[in-house]
Amino acid sequence: MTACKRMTLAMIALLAGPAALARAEPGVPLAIGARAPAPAIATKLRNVDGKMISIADTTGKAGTLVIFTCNHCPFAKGWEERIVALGNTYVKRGIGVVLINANDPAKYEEDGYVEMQARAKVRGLQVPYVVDETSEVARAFGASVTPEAFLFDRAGKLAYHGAIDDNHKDAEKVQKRYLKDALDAVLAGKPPAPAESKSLGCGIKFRRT
Amino acid sequence: MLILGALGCRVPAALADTTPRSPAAVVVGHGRGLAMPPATLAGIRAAIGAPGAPAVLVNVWASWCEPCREELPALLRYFRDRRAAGLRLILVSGDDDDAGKTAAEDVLRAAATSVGLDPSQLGATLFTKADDDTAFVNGLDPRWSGALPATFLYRGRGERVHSWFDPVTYEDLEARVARLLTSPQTGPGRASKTKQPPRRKP
Repeated sequence: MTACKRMTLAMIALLAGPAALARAEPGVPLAIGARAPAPAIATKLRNVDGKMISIADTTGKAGTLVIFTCNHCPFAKGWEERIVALGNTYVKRGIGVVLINANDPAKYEEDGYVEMQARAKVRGLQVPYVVDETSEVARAFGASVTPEAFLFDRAGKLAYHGAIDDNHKDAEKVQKRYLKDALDAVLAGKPPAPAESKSLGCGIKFRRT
Repeated sequence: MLILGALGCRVPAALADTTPRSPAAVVVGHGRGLAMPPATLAGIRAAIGAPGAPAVLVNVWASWCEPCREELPALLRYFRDRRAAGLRLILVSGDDDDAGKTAAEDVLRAAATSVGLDPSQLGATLFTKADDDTAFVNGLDPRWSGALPATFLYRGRGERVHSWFDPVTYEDLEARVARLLTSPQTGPGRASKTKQPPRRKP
């Protein structure tokens, strides 16, 4: 077994823990304190650079951030710059970051792979933006809206789930920086407060199974 | 609250919408075109729980939301067919800026016209969301992720009996709402006070 494979298995164990075969109930997101579903985090997903990577491959020493997003949704677009800024900043601070597009491009052409590549380039994205080609990863997380963030702490437990902040349209008018505050809390070894938030958004356009 | 005002009833102070930005937004919808004043969760709940309706549908939508626009004609058609039986419809738009509100009005006007409803006398209660998203989403249904569209069914006194987190069809609504309506259904072939337009296939 190669060192890389041993490391990947270790990351999977760290994130998934004993509930390795568990997955969220359909439409019900992972609970705070839960570990990420093992099959999902081991699934290889195509990145915008053409390489196949898994969530486990992106696990950070200080925590792991998974954001389900897409290209077409006005809410995702409104938060796009902030998502990129948070990802690019916190990946340098030990948080593994991956953006996942689980939408079916047959429903919105703008959610296709080529547009993902273009968007990542224009925004200067420095973290993976991958395609969930069967939407199974999103289903396993119980994700249902874009954007939707799942932040795991260094122990691999879900510490924060929900919105980026409380204003998708105007960064200057944000009053509650939910995700940024949660990232800082995780880095400090503290539980985020609040641990969960919600925002209006677009339903994930799941691919048919 | 809004329905009481629309019916010409005095609005109890306890049910008044506490939204600070729009103190005059009491009577909307019926007879007031497509104005959509901002409302907090408390204000929306007051409209839901106002007496007089055996069934209340609350639909959360936005003008930019394609699935929302696609389901709107079926929703309005159902309201058209069941309002005489007491169905109350509350539409809450997530379009909270001026451009969005204009777009929402245009979408709603077109959808109403397409099903034979006069937009100036829609009879539905219209709001734009003016509350914190987390509180708003959890307040309507903690199982709701916030994804649009979403529709919620209440019976008298604001008791939620069903939630749809996907676009609804006419049949979806009939399957759940009809049993709550106390009056005979109004529809083609049945006696009604006003002449109904020909029923089109959902």
